[in-house]
Amino acid sequence: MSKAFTQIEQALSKTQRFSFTKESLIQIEKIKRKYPESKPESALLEILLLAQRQNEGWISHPALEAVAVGVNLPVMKVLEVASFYPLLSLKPVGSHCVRICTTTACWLKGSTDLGRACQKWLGIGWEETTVDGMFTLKEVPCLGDCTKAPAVQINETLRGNLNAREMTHLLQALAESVKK
Amino acid sequence: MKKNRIFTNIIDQGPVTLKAAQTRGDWGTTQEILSKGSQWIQDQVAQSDLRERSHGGEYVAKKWEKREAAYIVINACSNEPGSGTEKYLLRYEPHKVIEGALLIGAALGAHTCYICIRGEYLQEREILESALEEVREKNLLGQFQIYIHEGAGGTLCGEETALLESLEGRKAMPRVNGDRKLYGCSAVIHGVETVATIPEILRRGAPWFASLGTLHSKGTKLFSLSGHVETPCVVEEEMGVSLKELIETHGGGVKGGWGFFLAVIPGGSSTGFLPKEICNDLCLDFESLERVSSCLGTGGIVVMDKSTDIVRVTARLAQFYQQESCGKCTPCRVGTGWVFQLLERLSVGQGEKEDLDQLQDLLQRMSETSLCAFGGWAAAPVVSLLRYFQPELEHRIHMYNVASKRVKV
Ligand code: FES
Repeated sequence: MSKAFTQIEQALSKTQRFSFTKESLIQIEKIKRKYPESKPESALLEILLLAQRQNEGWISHPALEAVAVGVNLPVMKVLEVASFYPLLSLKPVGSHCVRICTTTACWLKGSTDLGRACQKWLGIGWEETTVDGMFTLKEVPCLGDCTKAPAVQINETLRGNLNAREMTHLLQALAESVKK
Repeated sequence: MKKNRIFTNIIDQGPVTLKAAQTRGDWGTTQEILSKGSQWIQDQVAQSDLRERSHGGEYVAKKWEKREAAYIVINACSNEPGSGTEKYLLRYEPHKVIEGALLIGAALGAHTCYICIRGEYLQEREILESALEEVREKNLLGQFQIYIHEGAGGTLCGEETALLESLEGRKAMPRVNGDRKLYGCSAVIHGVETVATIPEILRRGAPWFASLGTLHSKGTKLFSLSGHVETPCVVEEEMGVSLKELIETHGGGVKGGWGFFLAVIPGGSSTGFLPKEICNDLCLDFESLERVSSCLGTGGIVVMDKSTDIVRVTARLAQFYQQESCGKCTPCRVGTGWVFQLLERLSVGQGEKEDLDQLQDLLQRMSETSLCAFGGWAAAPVVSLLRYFQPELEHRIHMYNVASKRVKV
């Protein structure tokens, strides 16, 4: 039992600890230079996005703290902003984030079916993550590619004109590629 | 046809390097234009009658009334359903956006420009970034600074003060005093399309631009056709083009033919629906759409055929607006939620006729008393639903009551 416990603890501390990598720090300096010197807060959103990318797609509390130090703001202010924007996630997400656009143009072209197919195949609902931590399913507003509706963004790539069958194939392929 | 088009690369979808852009005519006479001075640029834009290519269609000259600004802010943050034009511009004509920013900057004597782009647009951001890199290398910008600000987006950023708040590193909420200042200095905010149009106006001259389009809507505009059309696409057309023609020539027609056409959203969801009777001979320009109490918006046209459950579409939109509402003022925060709940019920007919009156009342309050324009945007689709599809709603209520045996047939 104690062994399992330490394992969990280790895993926790690993995900929970956070510090910016060297590259990120250079990046942060670059970002800050874009704004007037007296207004480092402006860089906040971009640094939060940077932290999120570095921290497997979500912003943990230590990450918030690191960001707060970076922009010279209280943690609370950083949290306020981080919790406002839907693009920023304060909960752990899966290694593949599947965002399905479900607003008008895509809805008309069957994004509901896509969503349902994903939910069924993954066995989770919207805004949930699979138990193995592989997939997170998100419902998002317009991705700006309405002409390719229904649009789906998987991690950083955008796919359009999908139907439910193709969608499940895609998920399958992703799941297999991870296993290998 | 191509002669009078501004964004030729959206048709060709060719490479977007500086060299390729130069062969298309970008950056050709920029120095010449700049040497003519800020007054000349301002006059040309005023003469061309250019109007903002999003939401209200404000005259650009009016926005420049003060004749100077320290900052230029370009808004590429919107996530309003149906508006796909922005992304196409960033993807295929980044140099026009940059050149436009430089020229506006020169006209107003600004020193910095921020292009606010949504965090989701990763690819577009890269394209823009490399375009900027090239331009800087060739030293085409001079002293002027252009930066990309990666925001987390939101429909609310269509509201100018909310966009500025977000740029200043706070929550994207509108300002109570409506003050349009960035870091305490004057700022001018434009949509991407407006900015990208300006270089071409200055190159070809205001008379050329003013010769296109209609009396109050000059020039050309990008339209994105999506929804139930055979070939969804983004096209550039002269203002005042008829909707039917646009759908038939570029969109390949409505799925199932024009007879199967139900309604259209003419320019992004905040412009509401227009039913077929109106669309038969509707022209797409600011004044025609104003006449039917809609607006041109972003030019994101969403076509719906008769298979569409229009009440469900509206309910989904209401849900979207509920999620997007920033929650600063009560009419919008609470109103959007109520509207969504009411519509959810009404979409299956569960309700009474009085609910429709209540909905109407609620919508009016929302659009009149909320702090920024967002309340009005959120109300618009539902208002148009009540205006044009009330019989459908009443029918549903009746059917539901019959099915639940509350009234006899
Ligand atoms: S509505 Fe889905 S991408 Fe625009």
